[in-house]
Amino acid sequence: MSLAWSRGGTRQADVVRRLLWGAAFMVVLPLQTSVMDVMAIGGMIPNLPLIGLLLFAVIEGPPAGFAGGVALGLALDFFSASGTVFYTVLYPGLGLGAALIGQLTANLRAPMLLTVVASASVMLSGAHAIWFQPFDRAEDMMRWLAASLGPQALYDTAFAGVLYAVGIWWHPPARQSLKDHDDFFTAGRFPGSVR
Amino acid sequence: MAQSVSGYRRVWLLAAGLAVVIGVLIFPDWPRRPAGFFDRPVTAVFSVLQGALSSAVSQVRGVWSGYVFFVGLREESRRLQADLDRVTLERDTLREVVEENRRLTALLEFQPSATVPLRGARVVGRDPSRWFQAITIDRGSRTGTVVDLGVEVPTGIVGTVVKVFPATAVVLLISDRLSAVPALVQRTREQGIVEGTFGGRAQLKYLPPSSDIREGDVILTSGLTDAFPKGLIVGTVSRVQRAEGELYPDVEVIPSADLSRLEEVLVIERPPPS
Repeated sequence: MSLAWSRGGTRQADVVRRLLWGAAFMVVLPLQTSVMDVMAIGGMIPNLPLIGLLLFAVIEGPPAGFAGGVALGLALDFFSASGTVFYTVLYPGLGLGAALIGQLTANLRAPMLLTVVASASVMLSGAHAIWFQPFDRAEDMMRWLAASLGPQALYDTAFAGVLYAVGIWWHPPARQSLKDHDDFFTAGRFPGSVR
Repeated sequence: MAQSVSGYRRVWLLAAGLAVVIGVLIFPDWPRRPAGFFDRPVTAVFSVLQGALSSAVSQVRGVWSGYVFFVGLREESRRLQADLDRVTLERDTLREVVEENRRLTALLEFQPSATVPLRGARVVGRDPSRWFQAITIDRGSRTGTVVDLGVEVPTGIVGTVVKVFPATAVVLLISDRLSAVPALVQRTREQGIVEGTFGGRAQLKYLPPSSDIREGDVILTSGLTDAFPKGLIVGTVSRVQRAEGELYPDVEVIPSADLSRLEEVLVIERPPPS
């Protein structure tokens, strides 16, 4: 995942990368609340904050993934109608977990990313069902599992795949060497293309 | 090779994140508190971005559906829908008047209900998490919006204000499972509570076990909360089931307001204390 603005090396590139991530964090919630309705299919809307957090965590590594999860979780709890700390508790774990999986499977970019998004989408739904216990009857839960959980995870995964494909098309990935892989473990993110 | 996150910074990031998480666990009710000194800049930026994006989407949708696609049909449909809304409102109001008159003939004293002031608001967003049936409106504490105000459209009630920011407010829809609105059946005058379901529908609960409720019955607000005065339309009964061993009938209600296509709403303001 060596997007141009994620490469280290120059101070300018680092500043640009951080500014872009900052801007993305600022607009992800307004985008989700105002624009993503346009993409609704059967009442399902891609979970842009979750997908954005997972991408950020995989690219930037565990500490940043954790901190990003805290920031996004706080914002979600603050602006949603939940009135709880559900997202503040859950999102840092998702960010950290995604980044750690990203480190362990650094050479399997696309399959790893899609698997992480699908798993996180299912885990988020499951955690929500446990936290809020929204079902009066078991049959309601089964109906929801069949009608919503799978399709939503598929939609989230497909959306993340499209975003990833756009990223690849925009900045084709560079091959990583074993040294890069070691650097990734040290630095928490990919250092850049092999020269 | 330059490292973007040095060892010390990683520790600081993790420590700061952990401190915040522990902080919110110690004060779990912070999301329900009004925006404070530190939250205001964040909510201000969020409101501006949300308003701009919402406006842009509305513009694009308007251009597409209004000028490119079936100009005449859209205008006619809008006019007919407005007529239908008005006639539906009048019909249900008249039904309520008839029922009220029937009951009032037996009473010696009658105190007419006061008119309720309304304030228009524009819907600028939906809930950022996909789990809650909620909308964001462009009326906040600066324009006098407070928690627990009711929100309606001409066809029926919409929900209740649950969070207020300086420029915006979050409205929990009646189809959300956290929502509960005291209601009554127009025909039988039996009282219950309309609650949302996880699937985004609504159900009427806690009716008397011997209730004679039927499909097609109209459900109105009972006026037992400050949010909604008595007699506003909630919805229509679409299904009644009486399972064996269950005390209360299982009553599904379809909200009269189309909660999936809200663009403008009316905030029911509390009349000043006399």
